[in-house]
Amino acid sequence: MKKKHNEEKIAPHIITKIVRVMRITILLITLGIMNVMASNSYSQKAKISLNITDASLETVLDEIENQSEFYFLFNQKLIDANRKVRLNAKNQKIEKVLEKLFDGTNVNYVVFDRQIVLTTSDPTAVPRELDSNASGRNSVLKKSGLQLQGKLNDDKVITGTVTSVEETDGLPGVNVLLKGTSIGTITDINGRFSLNVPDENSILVFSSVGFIKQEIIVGNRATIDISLKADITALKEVVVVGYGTVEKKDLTGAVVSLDKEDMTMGASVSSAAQMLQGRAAGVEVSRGDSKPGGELSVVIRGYNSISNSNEPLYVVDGFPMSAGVSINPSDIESIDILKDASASAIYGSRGSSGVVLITTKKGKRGEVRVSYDGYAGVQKINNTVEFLNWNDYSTNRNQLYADDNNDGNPWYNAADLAIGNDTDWLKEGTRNAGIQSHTVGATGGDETTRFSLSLNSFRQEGILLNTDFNRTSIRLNVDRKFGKNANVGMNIYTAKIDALGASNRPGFRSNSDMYRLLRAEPGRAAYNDDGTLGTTAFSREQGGPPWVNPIGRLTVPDRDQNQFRTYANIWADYKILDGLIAKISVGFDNTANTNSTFEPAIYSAGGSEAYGAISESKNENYIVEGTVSYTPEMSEGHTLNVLAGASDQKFGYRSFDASGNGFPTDKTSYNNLASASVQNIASWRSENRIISFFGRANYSFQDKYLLTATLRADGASQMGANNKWGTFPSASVAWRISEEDFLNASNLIDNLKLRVAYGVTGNNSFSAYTALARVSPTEKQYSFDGSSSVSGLGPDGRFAPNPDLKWETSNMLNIGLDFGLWGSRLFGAVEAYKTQTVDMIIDKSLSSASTGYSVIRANIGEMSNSGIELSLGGNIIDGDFKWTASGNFSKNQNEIVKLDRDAPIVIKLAREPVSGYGQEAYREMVSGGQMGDFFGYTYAGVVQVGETYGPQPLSKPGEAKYMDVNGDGVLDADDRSVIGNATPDFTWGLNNRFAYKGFTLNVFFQGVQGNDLLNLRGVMIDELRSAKAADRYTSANTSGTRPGIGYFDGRNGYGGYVNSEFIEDASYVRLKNVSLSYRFDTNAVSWLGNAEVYVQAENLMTFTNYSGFDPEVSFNYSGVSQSSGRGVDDNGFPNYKTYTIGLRLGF
Amino acid sequence: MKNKIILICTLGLLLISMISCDDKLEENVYSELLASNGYTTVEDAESLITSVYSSLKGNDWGTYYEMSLLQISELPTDYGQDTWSGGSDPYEIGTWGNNEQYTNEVWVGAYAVVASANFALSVLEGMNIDDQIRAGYIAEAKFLRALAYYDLTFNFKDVILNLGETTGDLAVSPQADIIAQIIKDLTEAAPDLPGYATNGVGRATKGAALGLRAKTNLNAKNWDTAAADAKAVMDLGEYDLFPSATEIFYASNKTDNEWVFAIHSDGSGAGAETQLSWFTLDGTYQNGGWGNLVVTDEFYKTFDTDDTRRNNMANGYQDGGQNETSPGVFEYHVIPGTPEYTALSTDASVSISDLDYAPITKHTGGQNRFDSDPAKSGVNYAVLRYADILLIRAEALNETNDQDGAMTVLNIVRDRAGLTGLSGLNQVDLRAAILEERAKELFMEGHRRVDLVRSGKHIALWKAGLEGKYPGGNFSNIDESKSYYPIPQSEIDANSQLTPDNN
Repeated sequence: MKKKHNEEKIAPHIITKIVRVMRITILLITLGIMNVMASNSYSQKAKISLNITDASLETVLDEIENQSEFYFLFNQKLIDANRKVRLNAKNQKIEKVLEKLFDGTNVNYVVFDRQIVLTTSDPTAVPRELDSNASGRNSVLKKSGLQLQGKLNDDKVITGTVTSVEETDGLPGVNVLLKGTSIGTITDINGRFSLNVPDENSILVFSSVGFIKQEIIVGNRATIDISLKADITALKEVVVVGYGTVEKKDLTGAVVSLDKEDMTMGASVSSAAQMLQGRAAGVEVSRGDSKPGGELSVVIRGYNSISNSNEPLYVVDGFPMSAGVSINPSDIESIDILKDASASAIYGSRGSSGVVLITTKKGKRGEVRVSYDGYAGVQKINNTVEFLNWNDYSTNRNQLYADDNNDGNPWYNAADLAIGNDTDWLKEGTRNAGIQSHTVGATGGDETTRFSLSLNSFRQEGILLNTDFNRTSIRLNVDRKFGKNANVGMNIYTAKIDALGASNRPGFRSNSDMYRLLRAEPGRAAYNDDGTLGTTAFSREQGGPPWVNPIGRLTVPDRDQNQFRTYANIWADYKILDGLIAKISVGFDNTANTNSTFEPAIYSAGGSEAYGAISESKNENYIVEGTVSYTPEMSEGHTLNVLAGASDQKFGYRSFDASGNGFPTDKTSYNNLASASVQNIASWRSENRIISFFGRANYSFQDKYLLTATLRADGASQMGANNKWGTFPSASVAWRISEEDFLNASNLIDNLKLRVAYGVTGNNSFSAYTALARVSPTEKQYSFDGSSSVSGLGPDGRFAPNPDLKWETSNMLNIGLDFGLWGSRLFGAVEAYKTQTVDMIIDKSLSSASTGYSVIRANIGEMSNSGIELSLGGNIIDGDFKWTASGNFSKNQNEIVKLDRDAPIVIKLAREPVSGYGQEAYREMVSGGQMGDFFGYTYAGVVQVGETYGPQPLSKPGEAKYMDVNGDGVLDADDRSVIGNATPDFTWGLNNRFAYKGFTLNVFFQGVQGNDLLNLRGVMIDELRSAKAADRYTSANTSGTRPGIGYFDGRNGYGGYVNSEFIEDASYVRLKNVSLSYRFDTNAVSWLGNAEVYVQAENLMTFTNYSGFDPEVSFNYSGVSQSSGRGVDDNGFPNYKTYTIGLRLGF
Repeated sequence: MKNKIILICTLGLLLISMISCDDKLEENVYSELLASNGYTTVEDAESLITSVYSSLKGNDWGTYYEMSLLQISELPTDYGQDTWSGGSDPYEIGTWGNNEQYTNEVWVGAYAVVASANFALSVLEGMNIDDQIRAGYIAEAKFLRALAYYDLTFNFKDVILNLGETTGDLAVSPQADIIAQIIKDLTEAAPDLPGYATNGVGRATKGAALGLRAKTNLNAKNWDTAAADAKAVMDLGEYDLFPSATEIFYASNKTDNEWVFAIHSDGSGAGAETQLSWFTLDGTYQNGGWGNLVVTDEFYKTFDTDDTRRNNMANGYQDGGQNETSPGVFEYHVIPGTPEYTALSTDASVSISDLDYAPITKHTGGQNRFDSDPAKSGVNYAVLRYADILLIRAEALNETNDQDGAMTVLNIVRDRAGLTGLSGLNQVDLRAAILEERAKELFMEGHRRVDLVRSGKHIALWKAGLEGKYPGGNFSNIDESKSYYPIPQSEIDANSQLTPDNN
């Protein structure tokens, strides 16, 4: 065997090649694609013939060396030379032979010319015992081919460990290069490296993505330990932009890029949307209530649509989701938000509300690392409302009743008043609830395969009884290299959610458990002495139907909500030529929901018959997508990358509902609906599809002048036949001013980039079949014979078909400036934008006489949004003690430019706040107005004794007065005007991070300013239950500042509850998240990679003048679309504070 | 290299296959069908025509032929009364504007029938089914379109004539054009429609088409043709009067051959009901209706005690007793054939007070109480009864100066009610007698307002009725302009061919 060849015998030209190959190797390792290297002429020509049935590897290698000019270099400790092999080859190329020889082993081979270097798959899998013997290791490493050097004399071996400033464990994958040469290595899994350098004057350059490059003069040291600093200006240098990535410096559009550090990672954070709240300028996150697992609303840069959804498109690992994202937050590696049209136009007709790109964690090469991340904690209600006790409540109610009625009978008689209960219903119905989450993960890989696996169990008790939310999820991301040019990968996520739901559906008021809880009389008992549910009846109800105990409503009915969701995609890419890569991806996203309900008779909506229902729905989403990207070789100073692609995505929906009323027993719950005396079934199926072609070109000149152009053509099935296809172009330019010579020398400015972008995007989020002339079974049945009835099949006469129906189109101009000052101690971006939305979809009234239809959904409206955004970050103190801060501010101005004629769009409450109050309108959208405008009466106090209020001639003392806004002397519906707005003037977030040694403290504030809410809960509880009810005017309390008679129910004929008293300023500043963590020094424990404990508090403090539970809620409450109805604080789940303690371990 | 070529070709083919994808963007419907391909078989045609019939019931609860048509037809009359809010109902006292619920519902509902009839006619044209079967369905659609236009033109006068042949907004046409179209549709329909024996009461028949043509001609004062059309119905020999003027309204008699055309209710409630019982029964009735649509006490008192049709009302008495299962709700039973409420309670302390109106028991379907749901009474909503046909003939003959002939026909109706026949009246007296007979025979069946308008006495009698009910009230707002309803504001707003003047 020639493996004992002296290195000196290696011809110099081979060395050069080795060095060149090394360079490529480093590059490829960095890119994560390392395998067989390019071969050259000798290896192409030489042919080997072997027929060995049972011999050692060493024998075979010797035979090859004998037959040819090839010779092998390898480390005998890594390569098992005694392995028995079997090989039959006739006149085959060396590569084929090697492939067979090492198939199924961890051995990798590199062929350059006549030299073949054998390594193990893991370039860092160097036996530990060699560490202490530097020279021995050196020679072995030389043989392994992993360490090669330019000069072969005067070797000096440098070893060391690279860590990051933030974390004490080693940084793997850091490039260590001998300055001025191509000689180098990369650090192993533990951040260790070893390199031969020629002399003491050698300079080592340490670099890694996301860290500031450092140079170290070797001097007389043999060990160099170094900490790299994170490069805050480019925490993530690569930004995901849809169908690819770009370097941050090359960005030309408005993209917010968040990695883990920038997101909120609290216990109550169960969705991606929550992680973004307050974290990114221009991204507003709100929610209907604080229900565990509840859905959030995300609005990017204001509302562009009245009838369609304004929620952004979510794309997870390149896969456009059908609706929302179910995800384990700890699976998320980074989130990129495409805000302006130049960035989101690549998603065409789905881009106008912005795009949220979520990248999940990928495997890392190296040993399998196992991690555990878990926390447990408690949630406590944030009650800001004061309730009356039984004595105050009953006295007040009796007085109010006596003033309004002359029947001489008090509401509560002496016997009622003697009932001694004083129940705090909110306390009885809520609890300090536990929350816990456990994630076990594993990542690892070798040169060909990487994987990342996680298993999460998240269990949240609701603070409201019986409202738990449990989710178990599994994610696996895996990819593998096949051959020289192909990669195949797969992402799969599957989650099962089991929740118990309190009932708070719009619809009948009695369906709301919170309503029952908050309106219940304190004189009643929650529980009897024997522990059973209380049913105290007051005199007025003697003999009547049993009172429904709100605790019973929470705990007795079965309300099981189950969701099973899986999304998976498999992809392959192939390098056709240098710079030309084709990729194809196929995936699906399936969600199955089952909601099962059983309400025993007294807890059912009607209160007379038991109700049982099972409601199943399935969402299916399939996609096939192909892209080709090409990066041609260009002359110096020019770079160009072009991308072209096509995709075909299909969405299906099916539902099946069965329900029944009147069961012979409650004991079978919803499991035997067939036993119901009245049974109903329903089913539905729909489908839509979007086919797209898209392209993008990125061009830069001298790294200073950047140009991006995109174009997407979308064809969507739900569009009208005449407008199936739409085209969405965008263009953007950027000028990296800081790269110009005149700024090169500046100490102040080290990064300055001006961006200008214009683009066109669309909104296609209306439901399937809207455009079609459909016929369906008629709702009304007709009887021909008087004994049976049948439905016909015909048009419904409501929605007219519209073959011209098309997407709403938004044209957006964005100007942005990125900057980094004082060595990037201060950095950030300013953005200004204006969006004009045209062809906005509005339901236009039709002449039913002329057309046979009453409404057509047509593209007629216009809307505009403009705003500014500011993002700032700074390294305020740097040293042992570190203080970094980041903040954002955004302001958006909305205007409805044009609607159907002058017809306002009126939004009415979907249900009465209290039975008998009526469903008042609270919003009228008009041309020239804003989307969130509240429309109602202006409250003007209480009519006093002896006072005559002109506009309300019939009003008696104690009734509410309203402003005669139009001054016509009469108070009527024309006196309603804009009395508030649900959209904020501005929103902001501010995070401060303090670090000292192993301690890190994060303090995150978030706020919203200038938004109003319709406090419907106030309407509901301020009548009788809350402390405010005691301030109502009665004959015993003539100084009361709140009206006594009428007012709440509108019975006195003037005004209504949608008035300025219940439109409240909901601006707030919230200490959203505080966390303190400590990272242990685990260097001494070989099996432990890292260990960290933390304590965290969420929603710790809120500063607001809003009187409800939570100023953050914004219930979307209308039949038109979610966004046009927002701004109502209905009977939502109360807000809570969460305290957790957590542990992170890495092995 | 070969692999690369294959790969490139595959990708290329994939892209090309996606380009030819316009047909892939066609929507697949599952739970509904497309108008363009939903109808192929005779069963589909049946389903199609059923949709036109079911649109008679409006598109929402209680609309058009479920109830709202009755409200606007019966309240602004001499006997109509609304009990809901002390007579403030705009229809009763003529204060309606151009945005009122019931008129809007009738407008939208009738035009929905027009639209679905137009739709059915256009689809039937293109269907590949037996010609005779097709002709039958076409005739039914034309009958239903004519019925809707009848309701439109005699409530709103000049209305939009939409025959489904144009798109875009249409201006109104004069009433004469609408009437001409109604007569044209009915004339074309009659020969292709089967008779009572085949189609019964709930489905268009030759008799229904001729009867509606008679009624249309009557209102158009085409007395000769009205008389001839009524006679044509009589000559079919398919119809006669049921012996009892009370029991004809019982659910058990809803398919009797006195009914020429009626909207059936199968008595099962939900989706298959009409709302008659809800609105014509007093709210104090056991599980009873809302009772906003009743007749005045005065009208009740005009009935001869021998007139069996008096039993189609309940003389108003209310006792103070309480229902044992629902405290606070007064309980009454109605004994069929006995107009008085009979108090269930035998408690002597219960006070009995007189009501100033009479709830209608025509629509209780012969039940003496509703144990569950008045919607399940299963009674017909009358569109055309044979008694109506006879009265049409009587009126038309009188107007053509054949008083004897008129009285002969009229007396058939009086005889059934237990009254003696009239004789020797001159034209003027007979005209008054026929108008009164129509009221007593057809009250609360949706004819009164149109009858009064035709007679020219609408405003005077309506006002007189109000002054009787509300002594001292000022009803000067009621003048000839209240003979018809205004076109609803929503139509004016949405239709570029209309201006506020069309009100």
